[in-house]
Amino acid sequence: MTEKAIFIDTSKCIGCRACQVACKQWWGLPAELPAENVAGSVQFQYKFSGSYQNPGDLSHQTWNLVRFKEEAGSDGKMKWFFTPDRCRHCKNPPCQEGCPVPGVIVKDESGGVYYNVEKCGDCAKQCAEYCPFGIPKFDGDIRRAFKCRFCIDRVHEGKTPACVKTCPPGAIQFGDKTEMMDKAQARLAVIQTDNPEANIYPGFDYNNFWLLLYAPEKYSLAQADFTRKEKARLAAARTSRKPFTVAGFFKPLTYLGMLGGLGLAFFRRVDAGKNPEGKIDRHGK
Amino acid sequence: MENNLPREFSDFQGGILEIRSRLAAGKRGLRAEPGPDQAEERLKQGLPWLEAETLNPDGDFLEMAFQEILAMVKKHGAAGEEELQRLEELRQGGRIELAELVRKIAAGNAEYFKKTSAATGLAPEILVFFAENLARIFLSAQAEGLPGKYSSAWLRGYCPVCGNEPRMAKLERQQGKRVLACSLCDTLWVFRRVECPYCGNSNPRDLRFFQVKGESPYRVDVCEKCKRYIKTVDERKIEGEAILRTEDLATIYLDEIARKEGYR
Amino acid sequence: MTNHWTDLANVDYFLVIGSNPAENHPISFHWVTKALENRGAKLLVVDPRFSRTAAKAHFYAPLRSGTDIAFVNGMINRILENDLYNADYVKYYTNASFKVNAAFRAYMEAHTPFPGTFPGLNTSANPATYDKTAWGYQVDPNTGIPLKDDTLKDPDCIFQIMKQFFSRYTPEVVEKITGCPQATLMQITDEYAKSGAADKAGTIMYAMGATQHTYGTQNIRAYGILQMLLANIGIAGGGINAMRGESNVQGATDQGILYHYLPAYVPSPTNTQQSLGIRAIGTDMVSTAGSKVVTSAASNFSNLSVAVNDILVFYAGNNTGNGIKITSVDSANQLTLQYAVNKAGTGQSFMIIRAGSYLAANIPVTNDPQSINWWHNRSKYLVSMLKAWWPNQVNVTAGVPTGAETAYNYLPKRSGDYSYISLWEAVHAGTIKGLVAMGMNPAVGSPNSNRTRAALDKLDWMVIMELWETETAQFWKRPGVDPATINTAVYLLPAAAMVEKEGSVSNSGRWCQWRHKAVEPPGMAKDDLWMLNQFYKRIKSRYQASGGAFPDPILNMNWNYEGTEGIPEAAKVSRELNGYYTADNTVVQNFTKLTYTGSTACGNWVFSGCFASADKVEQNMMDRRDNMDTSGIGLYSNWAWCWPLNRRIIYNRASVDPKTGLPWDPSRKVVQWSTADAKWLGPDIVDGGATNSGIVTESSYRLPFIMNNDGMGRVYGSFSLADGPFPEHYEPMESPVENILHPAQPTSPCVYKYPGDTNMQLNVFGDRSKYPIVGTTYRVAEHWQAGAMTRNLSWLAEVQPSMFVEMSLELAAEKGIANGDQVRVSTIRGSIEAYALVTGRLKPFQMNGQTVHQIGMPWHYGYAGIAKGDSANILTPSVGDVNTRIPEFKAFLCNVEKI
Repeated sequence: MTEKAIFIDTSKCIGCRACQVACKQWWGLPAELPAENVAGSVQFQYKFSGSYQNPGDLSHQTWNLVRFKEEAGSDGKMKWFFTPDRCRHCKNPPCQEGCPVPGVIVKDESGGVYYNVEKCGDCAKQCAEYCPFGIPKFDGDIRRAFKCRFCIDRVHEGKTPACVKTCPPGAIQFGDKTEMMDKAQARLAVIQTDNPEANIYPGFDYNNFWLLLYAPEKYSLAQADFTRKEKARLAAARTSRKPFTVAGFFKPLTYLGMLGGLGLAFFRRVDAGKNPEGKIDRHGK
Repeated sequence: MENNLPREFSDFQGGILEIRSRLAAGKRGLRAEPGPDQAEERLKQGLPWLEAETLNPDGDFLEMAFQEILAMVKKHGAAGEEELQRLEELRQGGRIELAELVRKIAAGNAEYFKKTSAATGLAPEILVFFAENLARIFLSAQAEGLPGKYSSAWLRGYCPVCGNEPRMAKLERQQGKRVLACSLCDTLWVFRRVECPYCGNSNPRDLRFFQVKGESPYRVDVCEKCKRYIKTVDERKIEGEAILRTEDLATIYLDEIARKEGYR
Repeated sequence: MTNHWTDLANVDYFLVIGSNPAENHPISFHWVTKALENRGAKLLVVDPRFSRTAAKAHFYAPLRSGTDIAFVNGMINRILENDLYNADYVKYYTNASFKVNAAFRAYMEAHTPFPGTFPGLNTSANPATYDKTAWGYQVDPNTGIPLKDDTLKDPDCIFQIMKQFFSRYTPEVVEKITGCPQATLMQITDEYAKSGAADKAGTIMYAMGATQHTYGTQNIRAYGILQMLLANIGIAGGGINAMRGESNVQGATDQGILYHYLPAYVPSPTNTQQSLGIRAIGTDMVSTAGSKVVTSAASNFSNLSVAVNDILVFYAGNNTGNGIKITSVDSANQLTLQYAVNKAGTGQSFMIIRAGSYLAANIPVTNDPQSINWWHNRSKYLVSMLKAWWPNQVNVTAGVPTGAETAYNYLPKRSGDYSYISLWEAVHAGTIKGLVAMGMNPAVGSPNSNRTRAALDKLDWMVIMELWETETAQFWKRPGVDPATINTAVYLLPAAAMVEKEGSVSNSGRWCQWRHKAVEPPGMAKDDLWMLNQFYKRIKSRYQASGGAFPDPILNMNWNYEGTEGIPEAAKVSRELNGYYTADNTVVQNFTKLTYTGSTACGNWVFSGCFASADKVEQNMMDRRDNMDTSGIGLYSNWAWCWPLNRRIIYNRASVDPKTGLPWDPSRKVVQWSTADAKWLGPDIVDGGATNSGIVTESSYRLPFIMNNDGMGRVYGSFSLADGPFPEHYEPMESPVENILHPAQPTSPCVYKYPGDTNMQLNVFGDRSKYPIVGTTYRVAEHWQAGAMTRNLSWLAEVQPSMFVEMSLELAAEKGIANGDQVRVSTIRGSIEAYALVTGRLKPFQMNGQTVHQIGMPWHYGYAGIAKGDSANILTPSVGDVNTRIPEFKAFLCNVEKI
C-alpha cells in the first residue's frame, strides 16, 4: 500500500463536529459529558466549558477533538478558529521510540501510527512523555494509551477514515501522501495571497498535517515541544530521595547549585582548554 | 548512584530546555555573518563558521528570550531575588548587555565573566547561566544552516559552528562512529575514536575509558596526557536517539566519579 | 428553493442573510466550498452575530435582529441610485415597466414621507386588511393588458415609484435602524451587485432568520426584488433559496400540511366559497378580433346556466390562460365579455366559472397573450384531486365533471385562523379537546411556551407519536407541575425512525428522494403510514357502525394503500399522487395530462410525474440514483426526481436574453431557444412550453414567470401579500427603539392580535424601559429543533451539553457577568436560567446615538433528555407573520441578570 496522509484544510472547516462524532461512532467510544455541577438541575446539570468546544481536551475516549478559539483581530475583523485536533502520525514517532514493549506501537506502511493496546505492559507512560504534542492519553491508572488510529481498519480496506468520509465541506482529505502534499502546497499558495501567515503544520514529516491560516497557537493546537523526550529522559534520571551533594562540585542544592551545575563546568573546561602549542586557536586568533 | 537527579533540578532544566528548543525552532534573531556560503571557506582553514566577536543577535529577540528564561528561574526559585534585582539594575544601567554576554561566552572568554563578576558583585554562575542559554538559543538556530550533519571532513576537537569545546560524545547508531556535541550550540560532528578532542593526543596508551559496573551504555573517556575527560553514550545500546545535551544532564553522577578519579 | 443544493457550486456571490448554513445546513457547505475554491466565489454574511458561517465569510455585516428589510432596502436603493441593476432583465422580465393606477401614485405623492401604510387600509377588523384594488395596474380598456413604459421613465411606472419608495433607505438611515456601519452596507452592496452582470450569478440563502418575524414574508419579498434587479432568478448559481428547517418540511408543505392549502399549494376553500363553481364547459368558442362578442352554439355548452359576472377561461387554442369577465348573456348564447377577445380562434376549449365560487377566487386571469398564467390550470388540479379522493362522486358526463360540487362540499371550509398559535388558543378556550402530535414537541417549540404547556394541561386527551419521551410526552410531570392536577389521557405511540420506514423526502431543492427501509423498527414501534392507515380504518368503521355528523366524506373516501398482509405501502400513495387515467387506471406522464372533466385523478399535481417514466408507464422516478451529471451545471437530472416535471431550476426561461433566446451566460447554460429546431434545448426542462419562442419579437414568445398571471417577476407585489406591494421597514412587536421612518406606525399595521386572556401575556408586549435588550433565538449545528433527536444521543449531548446565552463582552461587563456565570433572561412572558457565554462575536449596536445590546440563544433545550436546559421559547412572543402567522421568534425584548 502506498503511503497515505490526512490533510486538514482549516480554511474550509466550519467547526460542525461531524468528524468528532464520526470518530466516536466508528470506534464505539463513549461520550464524555462534563462533570456534574448542580445535581438534578435542568439548567445547570453539567459544568459549562465556556465555549462551543466539548469535551475540553483529547482523552482516552476522545481521539478527535474540534478546537474553538475566538480572536478579535487587530484589524477589527473578528476571527473564529476551528480545527480538528488529533495525532499527527509522525514519520518517526517519538511515542514508538519511548515505548518499552515491542509490538504495541506500529508505524504502518500506510503512514498511520496505531496502538495495539491489548499488548501494553508495565511502563512509565513513555509514549505520552515523549510525544511532542501531548497526544496519547491514558485511562486513569491503567497503562494503556489511546489516540487516533488513522482508521487503520478502514484504510486497509481501501476506504477513507471516518472523519474524512463525513466532513461536509471536504476540509479533511485523504489520499496518497504525495498527492496530499501537492494539494496542500497548491492550496497554501492560493491562500497565502490573502493570508500571508498561512502555513503547513506541523510539516510534511507527518501523515496528518494541517493548512493553517495563522500560527498553530491561534487554533489551540499544541506547539511542538520536541524537548518532551528529553524531559522524559531527565525525569527518568531523577529520584524522590533527598537531594544529594557533591563536595566541591555542587554546593548544597541552593539556587547557586542549580545554576552552578553548569556554569562552574564552563570555568572548568575553559580553564583547562588553553591551547596546546602548535594547534590553531579554535577562535582563529 | 544512577538515577539520582533531584526532581526540582530536572523540572527546572526541563523547563529551560523547552524554552530553548522552542525559541530556536522559531529561527528568529538570526543575523549570521558570515553566511553559510562563506562557511565552507572558513571550515577548510580549520576556522569555525562563526566568529564569536562578530555575532550580532537581534536585540528584541534576545530580550524576549531573556525574559522567558528569567521567568522560569523565578518560577523554580533557582536564583535569589536580590541577585536578580541586581542583574536588572546592571542591565538598565547598560553595564551588562545581553548581546555582549552572548559574544563573550561564545568566545570562551572566562576572564570576562570573572572580571565582570568581581566588578559587579554578581555571582559568576548567574552571568554564565544566562549567557550560555541565550547563546545556545541563538547558536543552535544558526547551526541548522550548516551544511552536512556529522560533517566528516572537519575532524577537529572543537565545534565547526562556534569553535567551542565538546561537552559529551556518542557512538552513533548506524556505524558506531564517534560523534561529539558542542558544549554551547549542540552541533554534532564526527571525530576520531582514538584521539583526545581537547589536546589532540592520539597515543592509544594515553586514551582509556572507564564504566560504572554493570551493563551500561555510558562510559567516561579520559586522556592521561591532559587529564581531561569526556562522557560517552553508546547509542547502539539504548532505545531511540541519544540527545547529548540531555544525556549530559542526566549523567551528572559520572562527572562526579570522573572528578573523584582526578580528571577534569 | 428556486434552485437547488448542488447548484450552489455555480455561485459567484453568496448573500447569506437570515440564516446560518455552516451550522444548520452543513451539507450545503459541501457545495459552497466548491464555489469558493473553484470559482473564487465570495461569501457575504449578514447576521446579528458572528456565526460559524461568518467565520468563513469574505465580508460580514452585523445588523440588529428584525431590521433585514431596512438592510436589503438599503442595498436596493444603492443599486437603483447607482444604476447597478441589470437593465435588460428588469425591462423584459419584471413588472418594473408597468404603470400603477393613478390613485396609488396620488396616494404615494400625498403621503411623503411614507407613513408606513399603503392606500386602502381598513382597520375595523382584526387583522386590519388592505383593499388591494387600490394597488392595481393601469390597464388598457380595450385589451385588458397592463399599460407599460419600456423606457421606465414615466412617473406612473413602477420603476419610478420604486426609486422614490426606496430612496428613503440611505446608508445613513440604514445605519440608524440596523446598527450596521454605512461603509459596511455600501461595501456589501457593491460587492453583491457585481452579480448583476450577465456572466455573474448571485444567490440568496435564507432560513428562519428571515421568515420568523411579523413581516417575515416581506423580508423574502425584499430578497426577491434584489434578485430580480440583479438578473439572478432563473439562472444557474442564482435564485431565492430557502433552506428549509426540517428534513421533509418541503414534503409536508407540498402535501398541504399548511392550514390554508390543499396539497400542492392549491388554496383551501373558505366558508365564503360555498361552491366549486364550474358552470359550463365547452369547445369552439368563436370570436372576432376587436369585437366584444363571442358566440358558441348551444350544443357546445353544458346545460349549466351562465350568468353575468361569471368568468370565462380559455384552456386550449391561442388564448390559453386568458380569462375574461362576462358582462351579458342572451338566449342565443351570445356572451359579451369585459374586454375584446384578442384573436379569432378555433378549437378553443373554455370553462365558465360562477362568480363568487372557489374557482372564481382561485383562477387568476390575464389578457396578455404572452402570459401563460399557469395557475389557470388550477381547475384541473382540484377536480383531479377530488376525483382521487372521492372517485365515485366525480364522474365524466359529456365532458363535464358531474358530482364535482358534491365532492367539493366534502372539503372542510375555513372560517377563521387555524394557524399554530390559534390552535393553542382554541385549546385554552375549550374548543379543541384533543391533540394528535406526530413527531412534534410543542412544549419546547411553541412561542410563549409556558402558555402552550398550560394549554396541554387542559386537553382531555393527547396522542403523541414519538421516538423518545419528549417534553411534550411528559408534559404532565414536568418540573413545577403536580401530575395529580392534570386530567389528560396521554397515549404515547412509539414511532419508527427515518431508516426504519419507506417513503420519499423532499429536500429544499424540491428533489423528492426515495428512501428504503434499512432495518425494522424496534419493539412495538410503527411507521407513520401504518398508524394513519389504522386511524382511517377505525374511524371509518365507527362511522359505519354509528353514523355521526356528516359521515359521507369519510365513508366515500378512496383509501387504498394496503399491500400484502394489510400493510400500507408508500409507493401506492406515490402512485396516487402522480395521478392516473380513470378509464384504465394507467399512470399519467405528468400534470400536463390532467383534466377538469374527471377523466384523471391526481392526489398532488406538483408530484405528477414522480411515478411515471412515460405516459402510462409506471416507474418510481424518485428512486433513481444515476449520479452522472452531463449538464455541466450540476443538475443531476437522473438522480431522484424533482418537481415540477424534474425541472431543477425554475423560471429558467429568464436565463436567456429575450432579444436572442440565447443564455445570458453561455458558460452556465440552463436552457436555450433554438430557432433552427423551433424549440428549447436543455440541459434543464424549460419552464413554460417547449415550443413557445424565447425571442420577444416572435408571436409564440411567452413570459418566464408563468406562475404570476402577468407573466412577470414582480418587483411591485401588487395583490400578492396582505401587507403591501413593497417591503417596508417595521419594528418587531417588541422593539428597543422607535421606528425612525414613521414613529406613528412602528409595527406592521396588519398584525393579527390573538384574542384570549392576558394572564399569560398573550397580547401584551414588553416595555423597552424594563426590557431594553434585543433577544433572538437560533439553532446550533449539534442539536435539532426541539431537541428530542439530539439531546437524547450521548455523542451529541457531549458536544453541546448545556443551554447557554450568548452576549457581548460589553453587556457582560455592564451586568458584572463573567463567561460561564449563571444568568436569568426575562421577558414579559417568562424567564429562563442558563449559562452565560460571553463572546466578542456579538457587539452592541450603535444606532442613532443610542447603544442597543443584543443577546441570542439556542432554542433546542427542554427538561427531558441527557442534555437538559430551559426552553428559550418561554421568552418568545405569541404573534405571527402577517401573511403566514409564523411566530416572531427572532426578535423580542428581554433583560439579563446574573443569578
